[in-house]
Amino acid sequence: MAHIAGVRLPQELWDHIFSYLTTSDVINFCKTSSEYAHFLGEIPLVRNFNVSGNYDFFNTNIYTYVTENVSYEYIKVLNINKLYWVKLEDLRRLLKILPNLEELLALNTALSFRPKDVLLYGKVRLFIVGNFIMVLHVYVII
Amino acid sequence: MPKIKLQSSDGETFDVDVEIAKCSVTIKTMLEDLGMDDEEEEVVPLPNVNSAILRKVLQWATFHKDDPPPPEDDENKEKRTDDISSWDADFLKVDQGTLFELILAANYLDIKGLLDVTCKTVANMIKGKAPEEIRKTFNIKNDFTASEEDQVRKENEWCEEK
Repeated sequence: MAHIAGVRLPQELWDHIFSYLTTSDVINFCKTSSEYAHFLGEIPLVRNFNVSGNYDFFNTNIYTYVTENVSYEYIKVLNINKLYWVKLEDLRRLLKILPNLEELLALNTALSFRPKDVLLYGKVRLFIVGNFIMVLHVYVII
Repeated sequence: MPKIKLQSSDGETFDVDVEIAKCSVTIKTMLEDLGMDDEEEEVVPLPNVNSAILRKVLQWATFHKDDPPPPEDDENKEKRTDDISSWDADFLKVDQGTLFELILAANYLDIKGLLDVTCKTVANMIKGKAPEEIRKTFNIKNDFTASEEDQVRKENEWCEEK
């Protein structure tokens, strides 16, 4: 078992540290060593998938990013606030395969969502979508 | 003010005001369960905390003894990490070994305020960094071989049959 500075923290304490981080920070941490890779399969970590405010994200395919890194079937909340831009096609593809998604948060992320996209995913009870140009907050409860 | 003695794992005893020692829920519960009389001088053994770390913990507890109890965590609220007080930030300018030992001690002694601020400090060391930068920060060895990295990817494909 690897240690940091000679100290090994139990899982519950890593979870406490991770509770202050976005999911993309946690993914980066877990990619450092095989010791930490298994955290990515943990349910609580994935339930609230939060990559908000990650300005490097506009180059990333969100579908590949989510499906390659975590057990995505546990995702309940997808928080993509403040990402600048996400390719809508990738996001649509992702939304189709998330069986437990309840909330999609996309404030200040340009998506060019159309009203009919709201119907894409029937079980999502809360859409909060807006962007820089028209600060349009659509709250749709299905 | 009544005092108790705390004994670290390496056998050093510390004379501590009971009120300060009770910052630790573990010690508080221990004193209540054992029905320890405040008049008597009791020695509480703490086999999981060495003297260097216990000294730091007591320093923190002394400074924070009049703090209001920390609020309960709200799972849905985004937690901040930029609200560390300047006293705490100075207090936590320590080597990583000490920082992680403090996390373990705060957890064992059940001192929520200290646990939160130490965990936030570690979170700030991770935040916004790429894996290679995080490895450098914590001196983590990359033990993935190229084929293992492929394997991790494959293991995650099992759920991709749709």
